[in-house]
Amino acid sequence: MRINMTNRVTIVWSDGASVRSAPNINGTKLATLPKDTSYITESNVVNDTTEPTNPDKKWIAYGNGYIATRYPSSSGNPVRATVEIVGQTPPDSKPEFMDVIFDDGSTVKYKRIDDPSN
Amino acid sequence: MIHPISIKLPSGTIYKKLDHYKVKPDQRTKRFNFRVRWVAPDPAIFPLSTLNGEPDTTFAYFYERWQWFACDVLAMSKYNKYFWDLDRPQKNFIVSAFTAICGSDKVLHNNQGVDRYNNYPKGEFVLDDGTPKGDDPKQESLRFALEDVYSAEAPRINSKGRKMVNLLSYYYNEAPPKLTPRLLEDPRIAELIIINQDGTFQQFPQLTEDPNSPVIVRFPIITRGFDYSWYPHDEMDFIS
Repeated sequence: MRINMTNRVTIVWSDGASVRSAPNINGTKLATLPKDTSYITESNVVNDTTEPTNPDKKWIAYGNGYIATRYPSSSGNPVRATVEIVGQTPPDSKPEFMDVIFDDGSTVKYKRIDDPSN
Repeated sequence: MIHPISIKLPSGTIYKKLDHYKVKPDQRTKRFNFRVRWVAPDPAIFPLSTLNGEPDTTFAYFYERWQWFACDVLAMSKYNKYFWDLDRPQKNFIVSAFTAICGSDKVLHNNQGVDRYNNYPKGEFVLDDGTPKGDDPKQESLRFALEDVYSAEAPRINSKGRKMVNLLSYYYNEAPPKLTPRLLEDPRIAELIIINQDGTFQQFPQLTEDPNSPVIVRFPIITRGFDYSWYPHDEMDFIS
């Protein structure tokens, strides 16, 4: 179970990753990041906006754009970048809502129960 | 997988699971006699109501603070940044999109939009003839077809025997939430959807510059409060 993650993204695709203006292959190409580039983000993986239900088309934010974490390839391996959790929101921040990601990949929203004794 | 009803963090804060539903589209609702509405293509909206199903005809004030918050939601949708971190052309684009989405001829602000009432992001407080607008716009209490909606309450049966669910929304007389990088994950923010005559769907177009690269328009759902945020249980699919 994961809560409010900070993620480290590492590009593993040999040709690097294109930064696109939107999370789909038609998004304007803004830049290219070389293989082994690694960065930290508080964003989560998002669906492709043209094929939101395709499990092999996933993106994550980079600056003003997005890079593919999974995209189909001729080799059959869709993994373009790995996403590793490196931290969580400090527990004292007590956001009103939070997303919890379970081991089966499902994301469920929770609401803080306000307790005057807290 | 069965998800826990509540989670206690090490800090002691307790979180309760929200019920997650998806709003059924026209062709799956009795409201439209199981057909696509005759005016389609049209925003695929459904009104919220009181527990007993009476429509909210008063609407919620769309105060200055909510207008800036809406711009932050639009800016985050388009640029992955807060509104005040945008450069001038980007701000102009967002204000233009905001003004288009919030016009009186648009469904969210049914005849009470920012063209007739105060538009704070645009800095426009007078009508074309110089008359002060004098008041803030109002937002209708709506939900969109296919929208993911959430409830923190158990469903209730109303006086007509219909099972109703109270859906989370922002309340106009409260302060907007603190901005965070996870702004778009807030369960009270909707994706604005249009239904076509053939029953397919498309996004609102106001944030899309390149048709090959559509940008989803997200917008805060603001209502008059808990008593006006009810929706029929049988017009939604329960997700988890």
